[in-house]
Amino acid sequence: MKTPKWFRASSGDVHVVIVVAVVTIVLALTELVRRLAEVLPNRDVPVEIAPEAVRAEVPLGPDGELVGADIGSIIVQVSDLPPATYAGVLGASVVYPVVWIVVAFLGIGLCRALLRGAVFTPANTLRVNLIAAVILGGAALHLVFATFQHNGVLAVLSAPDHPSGGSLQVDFLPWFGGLALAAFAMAFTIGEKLQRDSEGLV
Amino acid sequence: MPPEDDAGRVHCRLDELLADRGMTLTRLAEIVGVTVVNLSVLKNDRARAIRFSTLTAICDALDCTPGDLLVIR
Repeated sequence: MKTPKWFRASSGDVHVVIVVAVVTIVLALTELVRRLAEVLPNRDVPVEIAPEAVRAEVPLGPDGELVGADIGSIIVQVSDLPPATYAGVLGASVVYPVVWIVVAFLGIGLCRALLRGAVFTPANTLRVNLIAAVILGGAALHLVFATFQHNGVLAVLSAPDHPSGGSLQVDFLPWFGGLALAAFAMAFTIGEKLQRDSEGLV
Repeated sequence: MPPEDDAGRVHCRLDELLADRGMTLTRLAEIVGVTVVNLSVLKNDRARAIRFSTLTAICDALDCTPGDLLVIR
């Protein structure tokens, strides 16, 4: 298929997106390996949790002077996690890097198709739908694992008769991003149908 | 929606009409305001749909009816 004229001018942008996607894959792989190396031994695993309303003094003032601060999230090191908590920590660590890798690969496939001049094709529609589904599915899966991680680690750290409180902080950005991409995927599906309908029209 | 195969049964008699009138495809394209490529698609039965505006313009230029231009095989 011949590349449309309107698209040839913006092919530089597509090359930039491919480079960004490759960098994303490398960074996500690095993060994945680093996090697996921390979590898999189940010894001194650093885990971020959000404790309930902790007020503390931290040396942030001039000459290390202590200033009062509300601690929103802290990183604790935990060992010998029970299976459910361990699965939660492992899952929460793995989900987003895997999501970014899959999305970046799908993005590269989409960009290569665009460079060939194939825009509204069934394969591209599938790719865009998959990107939205992977981001939304990843966000949902991460929420489940993060809940296991958060509650499990708090349970491990606190005494049974004096449980620690705390509420999980949910990052809504992937949800909004996934929903925006789902709308984009819907537009792509309609575009593909319109192109199919107008093929051979004189 | 009609079956996809039915589009292939429509034959365009543009070649014969042009020959009868001694007109070239390029000249028709100029009169009608459609590209030669698109008229060639129509002439070679590769078109799957035709706009009413294109059909009207071709019929006006060739002094014929849609039935003269398109037949079902």
